[in-house]
Amino acid sequence: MKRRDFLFAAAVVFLIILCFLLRSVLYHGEAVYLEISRDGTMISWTRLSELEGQELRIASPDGGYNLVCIENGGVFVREADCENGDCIRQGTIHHTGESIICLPHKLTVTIVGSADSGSGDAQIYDTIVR
Amino acid sequence: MTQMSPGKTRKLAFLGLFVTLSMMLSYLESLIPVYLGAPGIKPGLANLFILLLLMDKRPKEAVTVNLLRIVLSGFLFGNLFSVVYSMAGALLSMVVMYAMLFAGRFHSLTASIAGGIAHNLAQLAVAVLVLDTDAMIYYLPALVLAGAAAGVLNGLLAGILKPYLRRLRGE
Repeated sequence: MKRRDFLFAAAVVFLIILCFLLRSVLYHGEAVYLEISRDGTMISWTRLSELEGQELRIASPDGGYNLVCIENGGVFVREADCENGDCIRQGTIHHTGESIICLPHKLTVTIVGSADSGSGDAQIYDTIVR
Repeated sequence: MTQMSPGKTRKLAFLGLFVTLSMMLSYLESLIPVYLGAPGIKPGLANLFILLLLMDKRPKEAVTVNLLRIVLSGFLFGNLFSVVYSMAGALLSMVVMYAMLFAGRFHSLTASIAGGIAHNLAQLAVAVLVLDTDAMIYYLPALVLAGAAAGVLNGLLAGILKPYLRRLRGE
């Protein structure tokens, strides 16, 4: 181990701390909305509280599906017919910024915080979902 | 049929062994149901063999073993997504580790840490591109930390195993 190795290690530690600090600044506030997107397009944006206790069957254009469940403020995928089942294995998400992804169905399920409620699209999508 | 030289046969057997071992470790890791804070976080022990080959200044062998491992594992236990995903991480981490070792003259442990981080960043980039969303950026800090931790583990193990490599090769 040389001087440059220790310098590199110090830089890595600094970078990791900086990343976590930045994240805590970017993602804060209470978990309020659930955003569901496919292939970069938002398909649903609804208040978590309104979804409580529900099961959403998200159909995929290729005929597949993901069964998204909302229980006790947490969100998880109960069932899916994707090849790997990674979305199920990701477990339950609770906090602002956390998301569940399904690569085969190009699906993302993200918890969005109160800080982002100013987005003008929110209202529109809220009505589309109903 | 042409006769293979003893050296070539030995090399073939040695590389075959490395492919098998790395595939077994990948498979065993996939069986562990622990979820560590972000999608896809795992120790990546298969990289241990790649690091050993790179440390031995045999980049061609490292690339061969890694590509065979990914394609074979993809067919046996995974799918097209897992292959693309693994390939991105593997290629970038190999380039970074090789450059760190021989262009940057860093210690193998340092190279391994950089490789682990590079691997996870490449996979994150693929996820962002495939899903066309920035939602995954939330997991960047955890992925960098996990990559560094996996790099420390593999780097230490490679340091321990390095002396035995020569003997295994029969040189």
